[in-house]
Amino acid sequence: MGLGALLWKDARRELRRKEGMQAGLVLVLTFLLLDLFAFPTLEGMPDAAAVALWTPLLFGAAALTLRGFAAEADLGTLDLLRGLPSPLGSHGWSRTILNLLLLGILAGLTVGAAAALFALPLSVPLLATLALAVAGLATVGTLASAIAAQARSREMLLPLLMVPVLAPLLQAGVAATMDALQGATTGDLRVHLLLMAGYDILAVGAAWLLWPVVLEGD
Amino acid sequence: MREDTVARIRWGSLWLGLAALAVLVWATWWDTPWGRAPDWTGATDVAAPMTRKLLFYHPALAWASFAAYLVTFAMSIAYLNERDLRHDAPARSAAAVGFLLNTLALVTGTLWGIQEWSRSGQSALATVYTEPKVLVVVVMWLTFAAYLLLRRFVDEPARRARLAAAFGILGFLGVPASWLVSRLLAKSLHPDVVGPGANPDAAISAYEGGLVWLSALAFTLLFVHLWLMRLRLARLEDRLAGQEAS
Repeated sequence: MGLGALLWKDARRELRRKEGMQAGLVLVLTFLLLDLFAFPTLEGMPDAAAVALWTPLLFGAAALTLRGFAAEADLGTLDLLRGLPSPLGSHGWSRTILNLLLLGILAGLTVGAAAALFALPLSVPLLATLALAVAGLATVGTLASAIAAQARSREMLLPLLMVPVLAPLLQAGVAATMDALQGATTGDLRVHLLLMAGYDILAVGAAWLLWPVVLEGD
Repeated sequence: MREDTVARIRWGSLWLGLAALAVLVWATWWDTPWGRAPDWTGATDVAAPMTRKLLFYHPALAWASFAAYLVTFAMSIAYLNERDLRHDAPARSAAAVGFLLNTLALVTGTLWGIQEWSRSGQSALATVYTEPKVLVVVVMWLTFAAYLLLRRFVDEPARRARLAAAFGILGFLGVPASWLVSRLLAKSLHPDVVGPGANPDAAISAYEGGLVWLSALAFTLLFVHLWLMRLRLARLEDRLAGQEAS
């Protein structure tokens, strides 16, 4: 069974149930609502605006990525997947690619909503930062969710597994977001964007090595 | 390795480590035949002379916790390579000891930092915890904590070892990446006391530098002892679990 077939399988499942997207969206809107209680606007407040963007993105990513493998583990279909004539890594990559697309949509909605609510300036450097962030969040989040799905208390465990591993991406991403909101160009953010891109490449490499191990049966 | 050799290393590292620590405490608080105890009371650039003596304890604790994580990383690779549960016990033992050492490094670093550093418009504690090098140690602390929590929430031994090993490798990669990001993006108040990037404002004498290396030796030996003690306990736990299962 090829990667394309597995991706179509996961996409159909998500289109039918919409569990991941709904969980992510509700969490994002909750955080934005909380920010509305405190800030009538975030124009001219790049520090607070960066937090207002990144907090819902991080926890929305956790909620979205968890649903995939958690549902498989709950239904007992994880063992069935292991029995399929396809490399174990393909299951991980199909889920990662799907999460990348869904997280991209979620990030777009988050940025759009935040820009509309808080008068934030959208710019190419900001969107480039968030695109690199989404790639890292999807790769690490999906891998961590596959680990958490095979443990108890997975909803509590997943953010704890994700945050330390994502710390470099979050550091560089938040710094880049603050600068982008103050009018920095892509050239000004070169170091930040290169660090984020480097992290994404490292994450993909680690995932390539670890997917067969993580999805292996007992 | 033979059991009696391991026992010799275990007890040898304890006694040597305690001896080195005793010499270190003596040399940092009293005068010795070969040097005077460091005293920064007259130094105008030093905010808290007493707290500055943490120079001889804090870096060594941080280095020992890095060493612990390196052991966890290496044993995680060894486990995934051979799928032998005997490699899991050293990994989890090193993580447990590393977590303790990392906590102590953060506590001592915080005590020192709130005395020495300040930025306008920011509390001393916030200054410490926005410091890039401190953030790297915090990231490592969170990674240790997540590793240990993951182990608590998986019941089946082989699955637990497999998932913990995978996270041990994944988490380890985050630490140098975090260090690189901190180094490139932020200005640091944290002095580089030794090495090629040594901060001239934080210069110490050769004697004090020797004491820093002595502290590194002391805490490395104590780490080895604690690790081997914890490993012995872990192997007994595994043996008991195996007997209960059969």
